[in-house]
Amino acid sequence: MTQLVRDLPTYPPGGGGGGGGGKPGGGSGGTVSTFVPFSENGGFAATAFVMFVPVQASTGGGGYISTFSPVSYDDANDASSYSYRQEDIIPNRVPTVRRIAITYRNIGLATLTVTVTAINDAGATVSAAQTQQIGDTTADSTLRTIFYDLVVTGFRPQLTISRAASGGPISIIRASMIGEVEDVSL
Amino acid sequence: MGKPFEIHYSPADWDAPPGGVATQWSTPYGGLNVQAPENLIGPAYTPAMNNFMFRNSELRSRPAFARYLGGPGGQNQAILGLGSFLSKNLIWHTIALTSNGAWQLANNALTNSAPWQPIGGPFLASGNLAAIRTFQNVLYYTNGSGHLSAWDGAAQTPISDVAFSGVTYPLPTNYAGTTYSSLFLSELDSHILMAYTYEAAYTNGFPSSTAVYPQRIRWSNIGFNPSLNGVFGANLGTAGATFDPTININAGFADMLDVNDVITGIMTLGRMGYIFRQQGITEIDPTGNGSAPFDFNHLWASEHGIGNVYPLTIDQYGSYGMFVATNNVYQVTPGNVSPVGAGTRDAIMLDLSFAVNPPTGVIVPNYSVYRVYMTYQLFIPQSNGTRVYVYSFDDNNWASWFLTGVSVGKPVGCWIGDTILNSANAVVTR
Repeated sequence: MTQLVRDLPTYPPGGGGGGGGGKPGGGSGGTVSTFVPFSENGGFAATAFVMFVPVQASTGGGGYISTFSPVSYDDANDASSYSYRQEDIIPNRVPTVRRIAITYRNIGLATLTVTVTAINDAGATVSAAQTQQIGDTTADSTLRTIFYDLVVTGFRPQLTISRAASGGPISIIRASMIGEVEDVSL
Repeated sequence: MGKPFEIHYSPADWDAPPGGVATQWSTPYGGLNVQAPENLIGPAYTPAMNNFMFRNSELRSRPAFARYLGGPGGQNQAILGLGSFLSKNLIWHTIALTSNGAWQLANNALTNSAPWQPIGGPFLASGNLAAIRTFQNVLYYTNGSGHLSAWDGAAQTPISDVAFSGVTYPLPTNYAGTTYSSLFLSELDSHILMAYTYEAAYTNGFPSSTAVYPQRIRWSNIGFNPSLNGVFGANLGTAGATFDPTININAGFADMLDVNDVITGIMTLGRMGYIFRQQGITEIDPTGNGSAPFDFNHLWASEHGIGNVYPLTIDQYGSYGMFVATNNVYQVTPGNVSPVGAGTRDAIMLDLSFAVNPPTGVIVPNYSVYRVYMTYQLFIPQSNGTRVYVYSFDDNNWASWFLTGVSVGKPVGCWIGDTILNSANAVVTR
């Protein structure tokens, strides 16, 4: 049995990757329904639902229609970032973060940066970042784990993950922040 | 060496007690939460995010946003409306509206470098987005331009005014009468509804005056056949369909002069409709009475209250309805209006204050026919791009995206006969 590829980009359905079905009305892996095509005065049978997004360039004013791709999670123009909450491991005690572990789904080759930010005793922001490549071009939908070793000491460490524009598609299953916290009495 | 710790972030972990295991699994992400300090929000929440989405308990980079096809009539014409409709011959047509009139996506697909073909119709007001509604396989559209147009897909061009005023467009040189248009268009109990009407009085073929009624609902009679004997428009006009109650008592209008605000949209749910005002909502119920077919009840008629202040943020998908008020984002279900902004509310309101163009909202059932993302997407154009807030109906959370360098209008889901998204050219740099 072919493994069900979870939400991976195949378009149209049945067109590869074992997407598990055919086009609506067309039977499993089949062709477009025999009900279509007909045409009429420039119209035509519809086989795809697409959200048309009318846009105008912020500068220059050019107008056109864009769409969110149903097949790609790798935007070429915009970066992505996600920050988890700031962690009071033990409130008002100083922790040290030494390792970040990321479980992700391989939906393609990507470059993922993890950053840990904290505040030190002097009230200054301290941070460390590390970038690694994750996944591969097989985009086989398997779950994989990667470790980032970095050291940050300060109050309320906060984990941020990010990708640059065209940095590849990313799908995070679990992130873990690992270290130790001072446990002396205040 | 201090005390070791491990903090795990996943939907399976954040219900776990310290040192224990979770008793509930796959709790959804909480989404953006700016209404508690960064260290006091729950682990399921984020104090800051950009261009990630919550997808089946995974944290995923959002779909690529890319140019799909050019605008109609060259890039300098603002797109006032988009939509697909199924004609009486069960053929899909996709249209775009600009101030120059109506355009059709040739062959309902992206087939060449100039995919839009003009199909006619009167000029539209350049400053208003168009209201579009399909009824009995006929597409009706207007935008306060003085004309109501209709197209059945089979005729070569749309018809205008004849649809409800008994004259053809261009108007006869000696025309004396009134043409109707509006900012909002809907259908309820087989009546075509106009709201926020523009009513142009003509003498000798020229408009002598145009009266604007921001508090007016005007409805057509029912029972007209737009294609009698196979001729589109043959049974319209004063003989068949009208908005004028002096011609057909089943048509009519109502002015909501007892409230202090103006109409900002219409939504129909079940057998009733909701008329949005800036500071309130008015229910419109069919009565079954031919001479008074609708009953109007203000849900509240207070001077200040929950209403819709951004007309283009109103959107509906089945029994789901959404709109933005001054104090929150609201979800409408039959008989209920509920705030859903939650911990993201203040971020949304702050970005709305930076809007440089009208914010728009759309309920997105899916990005393609088989990939479901049941979300409401709120687009807020800003000076250097468009902020997008994405509300998941499944998980009740909000994600935040930003589209650099573009100002987004009102998105519309369209049905097209195109597999271009599978081609190597599907995603190009915008």
